[in-house]
Amino acid sequence: MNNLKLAVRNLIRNRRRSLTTIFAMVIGMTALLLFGGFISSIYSGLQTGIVQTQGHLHIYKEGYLEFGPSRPTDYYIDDYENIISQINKDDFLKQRIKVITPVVNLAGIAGNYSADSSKTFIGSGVIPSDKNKMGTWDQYGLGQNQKPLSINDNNTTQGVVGVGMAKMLGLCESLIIPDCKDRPVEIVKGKKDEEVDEQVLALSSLLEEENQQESDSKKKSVQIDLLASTGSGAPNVVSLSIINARKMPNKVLDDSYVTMHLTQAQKLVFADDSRVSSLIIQLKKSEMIKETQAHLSKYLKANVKKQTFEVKNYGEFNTEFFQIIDMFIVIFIFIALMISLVVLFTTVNTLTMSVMERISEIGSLRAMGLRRSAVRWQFLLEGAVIGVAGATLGIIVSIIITLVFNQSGFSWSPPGSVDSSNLKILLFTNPLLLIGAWILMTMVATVSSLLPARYASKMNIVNAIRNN
Amino acid sequence: MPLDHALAELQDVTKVYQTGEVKVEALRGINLILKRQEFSFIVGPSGSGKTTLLNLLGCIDVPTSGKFTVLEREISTLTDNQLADFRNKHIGYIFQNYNLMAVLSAYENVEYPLLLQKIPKRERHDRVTEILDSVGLFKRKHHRPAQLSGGEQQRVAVARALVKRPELILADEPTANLDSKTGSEIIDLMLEMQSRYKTSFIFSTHDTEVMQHANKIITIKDGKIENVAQKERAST
Repeated sequence: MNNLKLAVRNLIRNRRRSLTTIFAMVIGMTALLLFGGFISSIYSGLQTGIVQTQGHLHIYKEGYLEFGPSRPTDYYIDDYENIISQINKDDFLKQRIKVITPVVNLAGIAGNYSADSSKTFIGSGVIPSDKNKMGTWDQYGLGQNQKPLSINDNNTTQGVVGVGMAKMLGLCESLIIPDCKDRPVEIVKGKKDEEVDEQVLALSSLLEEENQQESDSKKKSVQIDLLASTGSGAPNVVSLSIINARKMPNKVLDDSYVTMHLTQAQKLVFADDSRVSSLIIQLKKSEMIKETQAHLSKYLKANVKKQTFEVKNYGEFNTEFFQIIDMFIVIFIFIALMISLVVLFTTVNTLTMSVMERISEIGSLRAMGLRRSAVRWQFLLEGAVIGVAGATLGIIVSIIITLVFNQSGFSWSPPGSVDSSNLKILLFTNPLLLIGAWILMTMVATVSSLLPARYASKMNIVNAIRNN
Repeated sequence: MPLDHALAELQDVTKVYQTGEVKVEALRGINLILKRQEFSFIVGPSGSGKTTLLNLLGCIDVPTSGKFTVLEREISTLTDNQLADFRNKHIGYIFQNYNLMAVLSAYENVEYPLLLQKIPKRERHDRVTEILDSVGLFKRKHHRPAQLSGGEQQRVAVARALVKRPELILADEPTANLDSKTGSEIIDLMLEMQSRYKTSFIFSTHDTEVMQHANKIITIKDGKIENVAQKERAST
């Protein structure tokens, strides 16, 4: 007969009460783990979205993040092809990098003069094949792939806009975008122009008819003009053939985003094809970020003497990510505290009742020579057994619910993503969640038994024996 | 320890309980010497102080004043842990309500004091088997207290007290909850055990019938010893 066996038997003595306590723990533990798994899902989904579109690391000219957006022509990376080739020569980096691609970030005014519309834009010039390759990154197996860009490497004059931008520039009907309508054009009627009106209406209905026929066969591309300032401050204009509109993750971006081929963006901003705003690096695994960032910083310093760079990770160039994650972590901690309190009071109640029922037994054991500390340990052990049983069963129940839930096919759009993907509870992505929750619940139950255990051990032997 | 050494010695011992502002003098100037291997009874009316005296002798309570030694140890000077260890090693207890652990079998209840003494498993098994056989409960060793009769439970309690081979066993009205036949059987059992294991027994009781087995009868009244009668034990 060891103490553990005795603790288990004492708990079984009042089976219903012990089971109720363990059941409360199982519910609490399951709620905590499922929410933790959901946060893991948000973390993975959000990270996947960012990594697919923006990569893990960005190489900028020093100071770009602070001042570059206002003066992109002062903060650029020169001779980028040589730098990419240097990076690819390093074995450490080569083993870790999946994609390294240049990007030009720009802003200006976009105009569709045929529709009498113009709008400020922000945009980027990319190499479409590299961006498409980045869009397939799926470390966590979420099946959350980005839709490939409609533009390709061979045609440098094509571009894609946000759906909101398409509306504002009057591109919806031409590009046949679902749920997208161009701004209505008001026809101003004048008394002397009735004949002209009739002609306009006739032409308009003819145009509509033609558009209808064309939409049935194929989409049209629409030429827009992009105006931006070059390094010298002079305005520069390029034409872009918009072939598609793509929904962006937030309205501000959706209303102003233009994606184009890198060459076209370079032509507009730098008038030079060797300069880019930054280099985007996507790693094979997110765990490689810190070591790669440190190595890359040192490597660039040692091997590229003419320019000074800064290497930023996605948490640094996309501060929203950790704000969102931190918010969920705070909610998780709050819920964990609430559940811990419930478990604490339930266990205290159960063990206090157990002590009250066993007063004479405690007195007898003390009379037989059991030390106070041994009595205390006995009740602490009973609390720990409740904790271990509740936490372990909680993990088992959580696993079962997770397996069923993940097979159920629920889908959602994680924050920062447009496309919906399977909603999964990622219980096993973060082993610390399972281990941490198990330790927390066991600790809470054990700590809960401190008070009843102390009461039991401090009991006066004579009074305890009399209590029959 | 030689036989001529006293089992317990009380010199002018008092015990006062304070409940709020009310002081209750349970023992008033007790002077008593108890010898080894005696079968002693403490008798007296309810509230006379016999249980308090028994508690002191069992080292589960300490006197308010006076000198009190058990097996030549000054009890008042011992810490709580030392007292627990002392009880564990030298004193066995038999309670009126048996106070067996409900979740343990008869065997495990008897084994428990040996676990406290960290006796090796093999020796524990031998000693528990022997004592259970002696009290006639070997065949019922796997039964839990709830599955045993009152008499059987008290036999387990006797075995539990004896298994650690203490020098002193205290029994607080051990036959009070038993019918006279079973009570008599339990007393006989204790007498037999005493003669086999040379253990000193001190009882508190109201039962005049069981007193005939005593070597010594200590009569206590209003917290004072009224009489100590040394006598030859009646044959069983």
